[in-house]
Amino acid sequence: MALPSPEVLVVEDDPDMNEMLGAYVQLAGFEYRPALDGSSALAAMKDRLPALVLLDLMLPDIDGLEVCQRMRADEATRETPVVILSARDEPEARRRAALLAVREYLTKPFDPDALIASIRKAVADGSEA
Amino acid sequence: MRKAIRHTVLVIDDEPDVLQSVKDLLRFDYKVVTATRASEGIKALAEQEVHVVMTDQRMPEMTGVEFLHHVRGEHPDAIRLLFTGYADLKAVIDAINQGNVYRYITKPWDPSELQSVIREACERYDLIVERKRLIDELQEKNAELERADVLKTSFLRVVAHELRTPITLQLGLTQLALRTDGLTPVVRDRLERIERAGQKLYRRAEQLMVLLHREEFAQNLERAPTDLAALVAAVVDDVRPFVERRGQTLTVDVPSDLGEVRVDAQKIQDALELLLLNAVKFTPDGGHVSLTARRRADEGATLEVVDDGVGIPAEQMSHLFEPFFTGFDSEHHSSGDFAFGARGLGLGLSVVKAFVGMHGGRVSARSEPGHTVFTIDLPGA
Repeated sequence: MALPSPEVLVVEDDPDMNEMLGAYVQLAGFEYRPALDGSSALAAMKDRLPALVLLDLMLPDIDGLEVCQRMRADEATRETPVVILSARDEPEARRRAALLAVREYLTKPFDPDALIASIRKAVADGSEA
Repeated sequence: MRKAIRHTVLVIDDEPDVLQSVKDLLRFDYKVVTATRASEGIKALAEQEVHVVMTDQRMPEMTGVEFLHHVRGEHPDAIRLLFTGYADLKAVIDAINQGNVYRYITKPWDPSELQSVIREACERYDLIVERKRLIDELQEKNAELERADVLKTSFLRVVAHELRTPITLQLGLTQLALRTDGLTPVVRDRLERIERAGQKLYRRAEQLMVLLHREEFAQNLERAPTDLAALVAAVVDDVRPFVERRGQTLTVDVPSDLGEVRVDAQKIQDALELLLLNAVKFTPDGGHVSLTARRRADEGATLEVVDDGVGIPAEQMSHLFEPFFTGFDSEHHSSGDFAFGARGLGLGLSVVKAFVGMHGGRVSARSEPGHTVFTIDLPGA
């Protein structure tokens, strides 16, 4: 039996956006798993470790950088690669993201090819580590 | 008609004759309250608002200077005057130097001099009170502005999010649909048009954000040494397709040894691109646009965009860089990025001004029909 493809957890509160990003995740060749807020994303990771977290910053409960911080503080998710995709493009957020070892910081609207390439690269780098 | 009495003067002297003569002199212009000793004066001050306090230096209970020192602590706004004979001058001068006394009047006084001293004291009182009021008002306004600024920043963050989310969905879904197999040419063409309109909407929204948000953009300016010739080349690459579609020629004159400037490259690139697109729009098909760059003697750099287009009417020159100023005619308004005469939203030139201004630079224009020059002056490092 073939191994299941690696899974990408898409953390995005807008359901349409989440689903659309899921389509891009599948185009990149991976399984799609949605989370609509920060705490359910953290719970989903505990349940099953994804190969990559595609993370929005503005979330209804815990903001994306906080989600990332909690991931880094937890042994299980410390090394899990994160790609941020946010409508917010602020140097301060970029700096904080870099300190949290975020692989890429992409902004909305995104270039589809760049998004697919970033997803593939982050998953590949993450599986090497 | 007599003017209304607005000020109260408290006079303290242990000689009733002196008090009476001062009262006679001042009573038509001021409310005059008298006291023969310090304790009475203190009582009078507690009972009413007093604007000017005038006291003799030699009194029972305490000296005039001591009394005024007390007044200064309890009623700091009241203007303090002292009258005295020459023998007490040293004590008086010390009191003035310590700030306890505004002026002194030597005995015996000249009535018109006393009147003018009292008038000046009242004017001074009014000035101090007015200044305090203005300072309070200013502090209040400042606090209001600070509150508004915090609100504006969080509002803009929400606006950005609220605009970018649907645009991202529109573009992302269209681009997904374009990747579907077996699209008919008609459907593909329509999807591509939706995508282009989405990109245009996105650029408009971003320009609006820049204008609303320019202070924050200025604070977050990411300056780095930037090769100016390379920056210009990148802009020319972006604009060239539009120039070609309009059958225009674009001449670029940039010395290769132009060197580096310390700028936020993306913003200067955007500013230059907007100027070039502006030139393309207001130059007829087949016209000519040129771009030159040079280093100035003061280490700064100058970029110049020249076109042989329609020119800018003199009456529009002074508003040219104001947001939304496009010489609007809503009946005959055309939208577009490069079509001839397309005015769009009228944000382009104000964005240019905002981006260049953030760098401490300057953008200017001069024009006559058939010859328009836009200049960006960037400061030296």
